Amino acid sequence: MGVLVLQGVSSLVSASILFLFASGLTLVFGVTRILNIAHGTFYMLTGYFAFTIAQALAGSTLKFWVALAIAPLAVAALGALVEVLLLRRIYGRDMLLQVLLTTALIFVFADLIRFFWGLLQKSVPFPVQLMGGVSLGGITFPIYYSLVIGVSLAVGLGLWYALYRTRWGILVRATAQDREMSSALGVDERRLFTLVFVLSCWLAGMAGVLASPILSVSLGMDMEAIIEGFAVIVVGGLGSMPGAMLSALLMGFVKGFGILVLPQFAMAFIFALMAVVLIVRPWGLLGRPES
Amino acid sequence: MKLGVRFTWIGLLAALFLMLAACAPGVAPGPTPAAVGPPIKIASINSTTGVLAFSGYRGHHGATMAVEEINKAGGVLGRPLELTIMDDKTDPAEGVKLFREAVAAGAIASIGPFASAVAPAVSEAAKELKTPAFFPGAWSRFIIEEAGHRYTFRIATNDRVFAEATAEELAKKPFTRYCTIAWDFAYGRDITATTMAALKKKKPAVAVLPGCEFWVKFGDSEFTPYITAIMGKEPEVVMFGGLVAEGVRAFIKQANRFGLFAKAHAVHPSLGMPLNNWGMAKEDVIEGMLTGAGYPYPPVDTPVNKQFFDQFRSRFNDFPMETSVESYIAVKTLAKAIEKAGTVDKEKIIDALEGMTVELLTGPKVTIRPFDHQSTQGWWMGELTWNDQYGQPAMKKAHYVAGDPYLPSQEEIQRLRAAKK
Repeated sequence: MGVLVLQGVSSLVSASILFLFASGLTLVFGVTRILNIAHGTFYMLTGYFAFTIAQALAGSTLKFWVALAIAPLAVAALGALVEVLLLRRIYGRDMLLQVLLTTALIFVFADLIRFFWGLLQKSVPFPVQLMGGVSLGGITFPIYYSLVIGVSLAVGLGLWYALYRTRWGILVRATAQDREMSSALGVDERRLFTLVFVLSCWLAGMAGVLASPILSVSLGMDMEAIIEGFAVIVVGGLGSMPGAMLSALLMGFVKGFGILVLPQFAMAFIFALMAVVLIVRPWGLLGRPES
Repeated sequence: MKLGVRFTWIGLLAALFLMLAACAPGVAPGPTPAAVGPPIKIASINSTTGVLAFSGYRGHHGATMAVEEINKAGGVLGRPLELTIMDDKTDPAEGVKLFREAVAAGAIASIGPFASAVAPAVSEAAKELKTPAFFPGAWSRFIIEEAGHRYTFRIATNDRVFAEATAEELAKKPFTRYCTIAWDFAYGRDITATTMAALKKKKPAVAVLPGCEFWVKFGDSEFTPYITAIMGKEPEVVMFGGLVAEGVRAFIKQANRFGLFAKAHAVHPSLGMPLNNWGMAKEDVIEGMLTGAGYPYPPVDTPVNKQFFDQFRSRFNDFPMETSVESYIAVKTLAKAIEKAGTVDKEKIIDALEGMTVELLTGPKVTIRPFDHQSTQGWWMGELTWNDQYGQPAMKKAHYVAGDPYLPSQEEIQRLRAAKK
């Protein structure tokens, strides 16, 4: 029994990080129809920002919290620049152009990161206040992980509220559903797109800072994240926020319990799940068939 | 904001050139020679981008330093060595492409690739182009055992050696309940299987607990569900030799949060390698855990090693790692073979290499076995510790274990290679 509870909690942790990351990805796609391949790059960059902030505040006990507050905002600001200067020019254009541009961003940022931070992986400290553990099923579960789950839940709730209970949310969903009609009805598309992109970068940033004490920050973590991120949003339905949440939970639990059942094939589960969904329901669990 | 069609075109062109620059293969000329005559060309193919990047470029440094030393002393057969530096991006296709380019440009040998993932592909090209490749790493045993041939050389240790040496140490201990976790790639599978098989042979009571053999997607560093699953099984030992570089560091960091290593013993046959342990925080170091390295820190105290180490430090303002040492030794050995053969004819050089003695920087003398081109290099076994001098993990109680007793016999090599075909 203890083992199941334990795996359940660690599945929730995996699901939380996946959701935070995937939510931004699916949001951008749903509204702007751009598959932001560089989403993982923003996630990784935030990790490096967090490292630098923690280094600068080395003596302080609040260094993690400051990093959590500031780093995602910094990356979001960078995202705004990228959106205004680069992405704006390719909306509605050939898919290939979008892929090329976002892929180019990956290379450029990877080299910039290498230039400023070097090749050695960086360690971001856990928040001092959350170093303790909670006893679960006979094992000490670090409290930090409950922060990850908690923040993810809060963000999920916040996003739900913003999308379904505010006027802005209605505009976002309307534009996602039918861009031409929405534009014809007077929605300022450009500002909306920028805001959505900035929000998605902030979400990637939050995922980045929360994941960095666990995973450590290194070049290559962008590719790891984006591959799983795509799997999550494909299963959940491209553009569907509830889909991203459901899918992240599903993936987290499949991974967490799959390794108890078949540890030899654990790595295949997530992608097997993606394959099954694509065959049975190609538009994802909660997605809509593209009309 | 209409900037005009021309601006957009210029912008797109600029972006295209930037992307091309970013994608350009990492090819650069090496140090200019001091000896006279037409240069003898060799290539250093290593991974300066990708997972192994932070160790890869140090391989180039090792090769460069060897070439500079040789040229300063008059070159080989009076001719200078010319080194071309190439980045295989830890990608097999790229490695093969670079190898072909190097040979087409006149290289008589390659030092590299270093990555186990890239070496097999380049091995095929080496066979086809009849040009020797020296692997300054690529420790997976199959690369030389099953898949080796006349044109592959590995002075670096066969991982069977450190698997067996680790198993021997483990067999002395009373533990029988094991869990293993590894990244699912050739080396990860190999080191885990070889170590556990060797251990079971020496100590039949040892068993990997049912459901406790974990294979993690290569590159995935999120180990939380694996750690909780392992702790649920309550093993005595966790063998995670198949996790390398940032994977092993992330695993230890996360496992320490759960207190896994307060409850179970840790074993990793190659965690003594800077490639695997540099970047670990002091509080994450599992003091006293059984591990090993090819080139341990603190540097082994021999005059040759001290000179190499100091020179490397001053030349590059950096620290040598395994791939530096192996590349350095490979270049020096190749030069010695060319001198012995008296020609740059590749076949004669290969003949000269077979059976040649190589003196390691750390002291021991090893031989290049004629029937598989694997050197008898052993491994330094000991315990992991923190080293304040370098501000990185290092080893204590390090002692050299010779490779000879663990390497497969000529018959076994022939059998393995025949079975592969």
